[in-house]
Amino acid sequence: MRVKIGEGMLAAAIALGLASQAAAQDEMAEKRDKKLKSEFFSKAAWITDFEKAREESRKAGKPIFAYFTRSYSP
Amino acid sequence: MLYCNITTHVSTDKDQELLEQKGGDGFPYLIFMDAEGNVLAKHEDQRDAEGFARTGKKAQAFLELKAKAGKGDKAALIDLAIAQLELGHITAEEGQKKLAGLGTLSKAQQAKVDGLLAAAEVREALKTVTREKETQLAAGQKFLEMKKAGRPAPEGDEAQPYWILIMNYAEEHNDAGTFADALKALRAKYGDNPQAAPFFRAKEATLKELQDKKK
Repeated sequence: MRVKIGEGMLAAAIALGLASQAAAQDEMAEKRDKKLKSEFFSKAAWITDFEKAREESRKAGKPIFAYFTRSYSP
Repeated sequence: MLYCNITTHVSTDKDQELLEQKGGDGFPYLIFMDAEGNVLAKHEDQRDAEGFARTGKKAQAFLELKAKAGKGDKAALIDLAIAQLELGHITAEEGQKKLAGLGTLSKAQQAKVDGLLAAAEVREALKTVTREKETQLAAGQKFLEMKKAGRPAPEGDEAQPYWILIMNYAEEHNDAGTFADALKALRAKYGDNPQAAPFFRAKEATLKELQDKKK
């Protein structure tokens, strides 16, 4: 038997999907903010905006030391 | 200048593609860049002040090499093209073109270029690999053909998928010999890692099955 999804069901499914995506984004943003408040960032003058880092590098005539990390998992 | 890029998976955050654009594929990834964002050196040393200082010197050496090459020094031009290839500033094709006009390379330089070109080709092929088995087998077949043609195996991050995909392809085609060779190469590179022990146990069992089938 083929299951046909009615328009109402489809709209509900989409709404549910969007809501869970938004919740996941909120959770990710929370993790990012927690990372930015961690002790690591208070120990040195880290710049988190790439354009700003490039501008500062240009002004100072010094290279950029870049550290790539993640906030979504430890 | 200290810059920190955080991969957050927050869709509205800036520069979420920067890690990949600058040649990174895992964490942490540490590099020196110039003000234009060009990678000057990748940190592969120990993660302490001395290690960072050594990588900083490599970045400085790259800038000096660039300046020397800018004055037309032929040896520096060759070294610069190799370094640019290594840092991902130029593609394999661009590197080949640049080097073609610079005369004969030394044996050591040629070996390095061959290795870099093969690694670049493996990286390109890995972009086509998905969860679909067919894509994995196709890449495994390509890597096996490269190996048979005498192309060097990648030494960097590409080594693991390179050998594993060759093993998958060999397993699919009941090729115990190729499977054993790839397993040996993987063991030589990652055999000391205790976390890899279950993987190696499973693959030894697969090898035995393949060898038994052959009998």
